[in-house]
Order: sequence, then C-alpha cells, then structure tokens
Amino acid sequence: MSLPNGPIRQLLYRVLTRFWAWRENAKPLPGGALPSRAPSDNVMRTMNLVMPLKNRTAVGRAEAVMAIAACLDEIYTGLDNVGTVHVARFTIVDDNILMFSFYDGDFRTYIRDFIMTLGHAFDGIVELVENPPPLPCWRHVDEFIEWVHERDALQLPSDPGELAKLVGPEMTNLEDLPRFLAVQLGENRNVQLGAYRAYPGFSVAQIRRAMEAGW
Amino acid sequence: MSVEITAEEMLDAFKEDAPPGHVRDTRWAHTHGIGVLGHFVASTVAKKWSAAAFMQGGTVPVICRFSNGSSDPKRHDNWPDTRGLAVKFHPPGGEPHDMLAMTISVFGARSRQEFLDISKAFVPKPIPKKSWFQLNVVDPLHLRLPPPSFPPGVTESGAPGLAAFAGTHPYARAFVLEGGASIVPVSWARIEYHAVHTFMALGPDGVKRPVRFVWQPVDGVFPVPPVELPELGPDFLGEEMRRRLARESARFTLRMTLGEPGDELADPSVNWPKSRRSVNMGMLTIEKMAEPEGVDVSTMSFNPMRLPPGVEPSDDVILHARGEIYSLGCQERGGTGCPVLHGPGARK
Amino acid sequence: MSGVELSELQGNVLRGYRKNVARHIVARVRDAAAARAFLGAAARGEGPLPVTPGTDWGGAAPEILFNVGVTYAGLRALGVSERSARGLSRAFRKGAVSAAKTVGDYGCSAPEHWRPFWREADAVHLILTLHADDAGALDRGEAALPLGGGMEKLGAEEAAWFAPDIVHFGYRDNISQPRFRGFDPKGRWDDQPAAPLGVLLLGHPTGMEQISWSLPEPKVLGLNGSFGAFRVLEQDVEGFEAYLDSAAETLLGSSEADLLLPPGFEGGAEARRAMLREVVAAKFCGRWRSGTPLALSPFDPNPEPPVSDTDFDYSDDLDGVRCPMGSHLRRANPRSAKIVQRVANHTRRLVRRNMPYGPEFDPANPVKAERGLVGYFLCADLAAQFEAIQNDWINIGLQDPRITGANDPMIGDNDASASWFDIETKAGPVRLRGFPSFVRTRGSAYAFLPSMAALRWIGEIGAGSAAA
Repeated sequence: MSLPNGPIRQLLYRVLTRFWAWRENAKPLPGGALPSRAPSDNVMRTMNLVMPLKNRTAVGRAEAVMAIAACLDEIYTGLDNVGTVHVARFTIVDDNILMFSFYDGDFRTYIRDFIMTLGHAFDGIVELVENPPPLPCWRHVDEFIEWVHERDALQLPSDPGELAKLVGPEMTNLEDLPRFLAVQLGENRNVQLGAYRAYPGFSVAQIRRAMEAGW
Repeated sequence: MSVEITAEEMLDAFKEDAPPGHVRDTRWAHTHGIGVLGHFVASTVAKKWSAAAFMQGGTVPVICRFSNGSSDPKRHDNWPDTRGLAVKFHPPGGEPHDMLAMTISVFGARSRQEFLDISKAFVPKPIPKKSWFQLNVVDPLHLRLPPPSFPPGVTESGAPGLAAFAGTHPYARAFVLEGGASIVPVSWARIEYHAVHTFMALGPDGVKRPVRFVWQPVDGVFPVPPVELPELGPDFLGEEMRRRLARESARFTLRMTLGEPGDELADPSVNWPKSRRSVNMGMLTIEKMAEPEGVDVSTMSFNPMRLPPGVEPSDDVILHARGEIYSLGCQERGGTGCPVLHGPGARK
Repeated sequence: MSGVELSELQGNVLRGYRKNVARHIVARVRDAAAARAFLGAAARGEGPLPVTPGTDWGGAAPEILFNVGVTYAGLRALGVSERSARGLSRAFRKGAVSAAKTVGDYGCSAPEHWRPFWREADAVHLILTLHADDAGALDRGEAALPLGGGMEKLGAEEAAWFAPDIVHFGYRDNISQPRFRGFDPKGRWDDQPAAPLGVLLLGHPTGMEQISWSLPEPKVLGLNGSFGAFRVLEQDVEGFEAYLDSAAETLLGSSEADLLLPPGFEGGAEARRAMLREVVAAKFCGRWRSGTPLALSPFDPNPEPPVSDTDFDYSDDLDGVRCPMGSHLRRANPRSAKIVQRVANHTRRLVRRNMPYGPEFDPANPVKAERGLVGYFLCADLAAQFEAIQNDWINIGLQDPRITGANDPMIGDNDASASWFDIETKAGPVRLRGFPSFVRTRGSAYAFLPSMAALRWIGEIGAGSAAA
C-alpha cells in the first residue's frame, strides 16, 4: 500500500484486519506445542507465556523481580526435580512478564508437575498479573493449566510451506498469504516464529545422562 | 589480624544472640530438632566425580537431624526461620562423616572478626517502632516496602539490628536478604538445604575440584500458605514428619555444583552463579523417626569439618572456625562424639 | 473426608466383580426426564435393575450387576447444567475423541477407524455395564433397561472371562491393583505405599501432595465419583505370536541367545527357540505369561518355591537387567524405580476394570476373529493419571533416557519401521526391532462413574429444589 506509515495507515490496517477476520470467520489457532506422533516433536517443546503485569510502572516491575528473587530455591529445585525442563527463563518486556521454556512431553503434565513442585512460587508470580487464574493454583489445577495454555503463544512454523498450510488451509491464491497471516496475528497477538535447537530430538534426561551430570 | 580470634570468643559472641532462658546441655544454635533415619544412594555418575566411599554407589545408612535455626529455648516451628538438615553418613566399613546444610545458601561473614561483628549486630534488642509519619509518608515516598511483621508477642529481636548492619556491610547482604525471605515450610522435607561452604572433592582422576552441595527436596519447596499459619502449633513440623514417614519416605537429591576459575572458594558470603555445571550425586531417602529406634540425635555431634577421605575443606576460614565452634559447643553440652578434628582439615 | 461409605460408591469402582461375562451397552439419552427417572430409581435400589453399590454382599452376589458411566455429553443430555458439568475437569469435557492424539490413538487407532457408534463423541451419553455369570442373565438385565424409552442403544461391547484369569496374548492378568488406605486388608502385598482415596475418588486427598482436584457445583455431583477411560482395545493375537516366532528365530541364530536364556539352559534348538519366545514375551510385558514377575524371577516362569506375584519393586533393578525399563509393566507403573519425573513415582496409579472379548486363541487351531480387551481404566483425574501415563510413559518413554523415543512394545503406538525394544543384560542391551502395533483402539469414551448420591441427585433434576 502506498499510504505513508502514519496513524491513518495504522488505523486502516486495524479496520481491515478486523473486517477480514469477520469476513472469513477467523478462529484463533490454539497456542503451544501441538500433539505429534513423532518422538522428536515430543521433546524440547517450547512454551512462550506472556503475562501482562497489573502494575504497569517501574514499581510494578520491581515487585515482579522481588517476587521471583524471593523464591529462587523453589524455582530451581522444582525445575531440577520436574526433570523434563531443558531451559526456562523469566523476562520482563514492556510491562509483561514472560516465561519461556523448553520442556519434554505432554504440556499439561509439565504444568501439573510444575504446580506440584513449585506451585507456591507460581502463585506469587501470577498474582501480580492481570486477570490471574483462581489461586492457589494447586487447588485449581485444571483452571490453572488452562489459564497457562490460553497465554501460551501460537507457534508458527518457520518453514514457509508449513506456515501457509497452518494459517491459510483454505487459501486459493498465494498472494493472500499476508492477509491470512495478518488475520491470524490479529487473533493471536503473541506468536513464536520457529525455534532453533542445537540438539533436536533429545530429552533432558538423555542429555544429562550423556553429559554425566546425572538424571 | 595479629591475634587469632578463638573459637571460645566466637561461641561466646554467638551466645549473646540467643533469647534468654538457654537450657543447659542444649545446642546454642539449631536448638530444636528431630532425628530421622534413612539411607543415601549415590547416582551412577557420582563416582566419576568423587572418589569418596559414599559416592561409589550402594546403600549408605544415614542419621539425620532436621532443625530450626533459632536458639530460642521456646520452640517455634510455626515462625519463619532458617532450617537445618544435618546428615551423618555411615559408609559400610568406614568412619562416619557429616554434611551440615541450612536453608540459607550463604553465610554472613568471611572472617573470624566479621563473625564477631555480625554476631554483635544480631544481639536481640527491643524492636524499634517506626513513627506513623515514617511508615505512611517517608517510607512510601522512598518506595520502601513495609517492614517485616514479627510473630505476635515478640518485642525483642536481632533482626532489625542485623538488617541495619547488612545495609552498611555488603558481605552480609545476601545472608540477610535470604534470611529475611525465610519461610515456614509445610514440612522439613519440603525445603532446600545448602551446605554453604566450598569443599574440595577428589575425583577418581586425582583432580581436586572445588564444589558446593545442596539437598533438593524431590517434592519441591513448599511454604505454608499464610492463611493456614495460625492453625499450626509450635511443634507441627515434628508431628508432620512423623505422619509423613508413617505414610511414605521423604526424598532429597544431592546436587553438587562445580566451581570454576574466578568463583569464590574461600568466601561463604557469596553464592556461585546458577550457570555452573552441577551433577546429581544421589538420593537421600528418609524412612523413619530416630527416636523409636533408640537413636538420640539431641546429644549427637554433627560437625561440618567431619569429612570423609576424598572430600576436603576449602580454605574457607568460617568453615574451619565452625568446625571448632561446633566441637566446643558439643563438649560444653556433654554431647557424644565431639572432638573430631583429626581429619584432613584438622587445625594444628 | 478421610473415609467413604462403600454403599455410596458404585460397586465396580473399588473392587472387581469376577463374574464370567460383561456387556457394556452404549446408549444415548432420548428422553431426559425418563432417563433421569430410571437412573434415580436404580440408584435408590428400586426398579427391576438397581445400580450395584460398593456394599459388601458377602457370599451372595446379585445375579446381575449394573453400573453406569456418563459422558460429558451424557450429563448435559440428562439436564445437568453446563456450569455443573464443566466443573468435572477439562479432559472429561473434551472427551476421548479429542484426547486421541494425547493417548497415542494414531493411524489405525485414530477415531475415524473406531466402531461407528464410538466415533461421534457427542452421541455417546451412557455406558451401561452389566456383569453376570451367563449371557442369559445379561439379556435379562438389558431387557430391564429403558432402551427404546428414555434411552436408545447405539451399540454394545461384550466381554468374557477366560479361566484362570488369562487374557489375550496368553498372560495371566488381574494380579495387581492399587490398594487403598483404610480399605484393603492389612498384610503384605507389596512395598508400594497404599494409595490415598483421591487417586480414585473425587473429593479426597490425592497422591500428589497439596494438590486437590476441583469439585463441581453442587459438590454432590462430583464427590466420591471416579473417571473412567473406557477403552476397546483390539489385540492382534496372531501378529503377536508371529512376532515372537520371528524374534526367537533371529535371536536363535545370534550370539545374543545365551545372554537371554536362563544360565545353564539345556536343550536343543527347539527348546531354545521355545524358551526364547517366552523370554521375549516376558521381557515385553514384565511378567512371564504365567504371571510370575520378572523382577522376582528373571529366568524362571514357574520358580520353586514360588515367588510373590506382587511384592516387588524396581529400585534394586536400576539397569533393568531383570525387568526392562521399556516393559509394559514398568512403563505403566514404575513403582519406586528411578524415573525422570521423580515427583510422579506412585502418583499415576490406575484401577483396571477390563475383561477380554472375542474367542480365546488356540495356537494349535488358530481361528480368525476379533479379540481384545474392553473396559475401564479408572482414576480421579484423567489428565494427571491416564493421559500422563499414555502420553509420556507408554509412548515416548520419557521416564528413562534409555528408552526415550521408543513406545510400549505391547500396547504402544508402534510402527515396524522404527520400533525398538532393549532387553538389558549384564553384557549390554539386546535390541529387538520391527514390531508393529499389536493393539488397535476400536473405541473409547471418557465416562464419569458418579457416586450413588450423585445418581440420585441426577434423578431429581427438574423435581423442584434439585434443579441443576
């Protein structure tokens, strides 16, 4: 489009995205890793949790930092013993607290083991977040897992062919790919754009075992 | 440091930190606790990193003591505190050896003098009351959090003095911050215990590696939710352990972190980064209470310097001093197995 | 909350019936009021076919035992409000068709290949289970159901017990179930901690410390209820036996045979082949076909003196030399074995209420027929127990890095081009390859087995105060 990249163009894009979402009856694709029969797809799966902070000031961000610092042992011990987490990190970006991780196996089992071993720490973190789930999480396990799942970002395949298949299964004109993508990104604000793995296909325990770090 | 500060002086300074009413023949720190029995089984990789007998695999019986850090003669399981886990390993055919760990990962001093200084700062004093203006105007304007609340009825504490001390003594900060974040765990089996000091682990390859140990509860760390705290009695942790062990065993994994060049080896006030390599060295399984088995841990000596062949102390001054202080304290209270400093770490 | 009245549970939850035959009638609610009236009366012990409660009946078992499982769609069709029904967990609400991939129902086990009446998740409302000693009694029980009235029959699954407790593939089964705290007779059974009631029933402490499963509103709907993954699992008996033949043949010609045969085994090629078949069958399962656990008798299917069927653990078999880490038994319940998810030891127990269907297979006179196993895997949380086991342990093998990437050799989602199974020996693993899936899912539903009080409550929906 030849409009200058100003507020009018931004507004137009918003309107058009909504129009096409309505016109094509777009449904948000589910976030998180999808089920797969292939063993490699069941290890080193990714989670990208985006949680907007209630207190959108520097003081609110400081609270989040302190909340996590206060339960360091809980988090590290829990993750060590859950046994299926490769890497996990908390990051604050623009008043959102992000939790990104690589894990093995079923998503719900991962979160449930998490709640069991570090549920209290999780309570302390999510109570700082907008629209928190019912707490304590360990008494509302099902609701908590679904709350996390709803915030787990959509995973777009990095491969363009796969990308087209996912966002535009009924597309008949390749030129429409950007529109299908925009409509889906209108429904899913946060997305993962592929994920690199230096050692795809191995579980945490396989790596720990091979490295003689004990599993 | 012209004249070496003695263990007696350090123990005396520490005694000043205890609330009044110390009961003769009890410990001056970690006064209240319980004994439990179980076993340790090293992981299959442990022997690749350590030549010590208890790391070679097989079942090593253990006697353990869970404790509250407080020296208060009154027991307060239901108050936030630094908890302890002392493990006495009995490797078949070898001398027993100990591993002492606590829920804070660092120590608040690096030298004998600093030990005296921080002990002095921790002497209980009437809790200063902040003015309304300070609390509601000055502190919020400084973006300070409200001061920690004390359990009902507590009028004297060493904590405010310690906090003030840590403000001006950076080496005490990590210790005080972690101590301030202390919790009441739902169980002594649901909290992590750090052996704090650096030890030198002799590997089968003949290499001595600086290492630190931590006991991680398999079920994770879990504090009592604040709403449930008022329902808990001052000795609920003992009762909880009895019930737990009647039902199932309690498990901890022993994780050993490997130090690297640049890491503090002799300074227990500084933690190592979480990015260090660490090895799962084995599983501690606690199966039963010690008392019904005729094992009395109240008189038993646990000493951080009672080490097995293959694990040596680092040059950490506090580790060596604690070895002496524990030994001295044990003698004073008529404990069993007290003077033990004949290992590789014995001071001349 | 620690106890529960047996008379308030359905009878098939805490115990197995050990009757000769069973029929699971799959039905749809046609007239909610009539269906509710029938269920409510049956739960009050009224009418021609009362729901069998958990009460101990001593020596005089009723002739026909009747129990009810209700799907999420079934609860809704019976008039339970969406809000109440949703309180019974997400996995239950989504149902078995939606969970197919999670539990490993791919390929010919995928829902599109199930029996037609199982495919449409929303059509399956009720699983009406009859147990009796003969088919005539089952027919009489079925005649007492309001099929054609408040309910409509969509199909049925039949099952029959083979003496003595044999299931297809030729193993003795029905050996071990979780024991529950406060319920099962004292005395040594095995070293596994007695399971808390919350492993099986809603509203009780679970096996996972601190964790409790939510109860719906009103609580009476959920309390003391149990969830069942109902599974119709076709077993390829001929394929299984043929694989044992080929595995034995391959091993016989290899240097590995001596590692697998009992030390000092004497016998010619035929005896060795026959023994190798049984060794492979035992290593796949974790028990000899006689039922003897490998953990206690790694080389002898019928040791003298006999060993316990149940009193074993894997914590002293770290490398799986006796019972392979990948065996069916050890995957489904690793007991105290060292596993990756250390917190999960003992927490994912399932109560199995299954019986074989199809004619017993006679290798001397093989008859083509569909054979399998049908019934419930019961638990208090389908996602935390049944799905977690199926997704991470039966398939993928996440619990031990030495089996990760391989699936359960007996019931896993296997593809002959990629399957493998390691039999650990003191001299290292012997790897078997090339086995297909021997089990194919023909139907499945997630059902809730309400307590007697919940069934009575359902019966009263619409009758004033109990409006849902």
